[in-house]
Amino acid sequence: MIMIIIVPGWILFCILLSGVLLTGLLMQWFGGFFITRDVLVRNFTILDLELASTEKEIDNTLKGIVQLEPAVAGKVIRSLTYHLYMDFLFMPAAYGTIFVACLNVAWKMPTSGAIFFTVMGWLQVASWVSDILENIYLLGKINRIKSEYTPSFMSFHTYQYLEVVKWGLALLAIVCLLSALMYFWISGLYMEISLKYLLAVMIELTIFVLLMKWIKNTGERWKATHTFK
Amino acid sequence: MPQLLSISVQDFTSHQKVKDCLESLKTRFTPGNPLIVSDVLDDQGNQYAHLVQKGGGVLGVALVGYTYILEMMGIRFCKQAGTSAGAINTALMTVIGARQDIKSPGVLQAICDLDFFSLVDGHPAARWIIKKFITDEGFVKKTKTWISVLLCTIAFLVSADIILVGLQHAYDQLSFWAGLSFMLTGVMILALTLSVIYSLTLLKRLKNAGFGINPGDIFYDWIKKQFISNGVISVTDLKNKAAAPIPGLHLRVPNPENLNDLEGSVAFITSELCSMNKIQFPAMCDLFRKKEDIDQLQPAGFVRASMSIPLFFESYIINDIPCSDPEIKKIWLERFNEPDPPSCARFVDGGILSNFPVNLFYNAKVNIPRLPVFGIDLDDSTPGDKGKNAESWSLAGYFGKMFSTIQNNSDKEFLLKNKVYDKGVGKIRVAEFNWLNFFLPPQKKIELFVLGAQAAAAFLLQFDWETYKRDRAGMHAKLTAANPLNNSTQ
Repeated sequence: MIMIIIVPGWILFCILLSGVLLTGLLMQWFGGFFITRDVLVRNFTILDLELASTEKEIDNTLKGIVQLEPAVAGKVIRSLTYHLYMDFLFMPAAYGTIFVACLNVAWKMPTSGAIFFTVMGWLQVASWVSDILENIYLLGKINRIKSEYTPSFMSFHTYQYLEVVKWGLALLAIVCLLSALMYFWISGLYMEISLKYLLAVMIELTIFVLLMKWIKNTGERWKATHTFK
Repeated sequence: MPQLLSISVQDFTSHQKVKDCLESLKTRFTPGNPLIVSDVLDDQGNQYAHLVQKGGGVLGVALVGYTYILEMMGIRFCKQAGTSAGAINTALMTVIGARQDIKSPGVLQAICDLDFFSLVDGHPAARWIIKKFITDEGFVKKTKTWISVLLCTIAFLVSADIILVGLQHAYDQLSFWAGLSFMLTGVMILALTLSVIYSLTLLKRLKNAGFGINPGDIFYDWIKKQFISNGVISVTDLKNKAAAPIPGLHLRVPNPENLNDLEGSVAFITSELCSMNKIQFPAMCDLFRKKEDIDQLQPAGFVRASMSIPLFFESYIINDIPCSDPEIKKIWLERFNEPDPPSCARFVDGGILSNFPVNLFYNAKVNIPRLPVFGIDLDDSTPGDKGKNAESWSLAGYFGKMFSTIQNNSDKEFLLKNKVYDKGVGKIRVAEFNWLNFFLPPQKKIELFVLGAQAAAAFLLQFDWETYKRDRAGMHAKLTAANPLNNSTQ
């Protein structure tokens, strides 16, 4: 909140967004080493764990890692753990970005819109907490990867609800934000300085996309040497 | 009739129509005019036959009705084979109890304890779609309507966005509605985008899962549990159980072959895609592991392999085949003329190559049969089937017909060339049931069982062992005369 008061809103948004993109790149780097042996050696992504339909699906993916060659399995487990730790840094940046954008838009809105976007902004705290719990759940499973099944601190059903809360609130906020911003732009209700912020965001995104492509290729090259042998 | 919420074995076996079947058989076959179906008997007077069970998804419940009647009439099984659902029943009939015991109530108990829908263990969205697709006839139409409504709503909202943004300069009060319209458009586009992304993710999962919607893990765990609870843990256990000696096995009338080659056995038919072969488990285990390592394979996996309906279930895979081992190479070369065995084998439903493997038990060495080969056929054809009108086929219907032609060809060819085997085949008419309907209510399961029981009763009433024996001997004589060097029809 102090930052929001000191730094103009959209500058803070750009700073936080760069944090999102930087941590996102690092997470993509670690994600490049995600393979498992679920019957066959195959790729997986963090979304396969986050949006699994059953607990067994998560367990199969994780247990499958251990069935890889020990050196490869070690690398995958390390990457997965680092990915989740990096996610703890990603979270404040991501939910913070949405929060700041919501408050910025709320200030431009009439009363009903202002209330809606302020509420949407603060609801990101719920998304953040859900994300933290979800990561703790997954880290717990990874720590017990080599042992027999032991129940986690929360049920898989709770985990699924947390996923819905996390994704639901974040996506709803993003879509409403984009719609509102689009409305302001089309209606001409924006200040000239907004163009600078837009340019900054575009530059950040371009750099991100280019680096992402390079990282993705590196990951795919590594995966190709360890799958479908 | 009241709807049953859960079912017990008695709900099947005490059904009036099942009782009627047994009653009619007991009236027809009396101690003075006994039922004779085989020359092979045990010390309790049970008669033995080889048994082949056809695949057919959930229609397999009817197979149990059929075997129940056979068993109640004192018929037991020597060698057994099956594909897909037939393999499941064959497996249970093999592992439950001793060979001379009645097995069908045990199989029924396993069925009663199983929630069929749990076998559809794919993603919840896939489960929902499968359920709707099978149980709701208007599902495709409803889906099309929903997609149209969604697209029309988006088109309407986009139009409203444009109109309201233009008009808000003239009418200030419209600016609220313009903002709201923009947000609703965003939400609708989000819904559409998420649906598309979700569908793409499901397709990606399908690819990762070896093009199978359901992992089949629940089935695998279930059949493994059935095996283990009956003392079958390894492949050796399975073979031993199938071949366990029967006390007092003897022939009713002398036969030059005596009791040779009458050890019990079990065969599950599956299709292997890497080498493109029909595989018969557990007999062909030696293709995938060295003799001393055979027990590394899991017998429950054989049944899982046999029932892997393509696309519906993930393929069953055997990894780490010692393909460079000379012993393994030799077996592949001898059996399939394959000099380069795969390191990984991928199995789908045996039904795509041989859904009714009745040819397995033809023994060219035997002139006069000692026991019959009984087959249980699941017949889902309907009179006046519009599938026979070639002009009315859709693309799916066209591919379906092509698949069916290939699927049934080899079994049909065998039965056409060896018509005597048809005499041992009983047909269960199950046209009004969908073979993929894993959501069968208990009442429908009982109906299937009853159909099986009625088909078995009808079969036994018309089966004549002496005619079968004579025709089979005649067939063998004809074949030997036609080709004295090659005395095999296969």
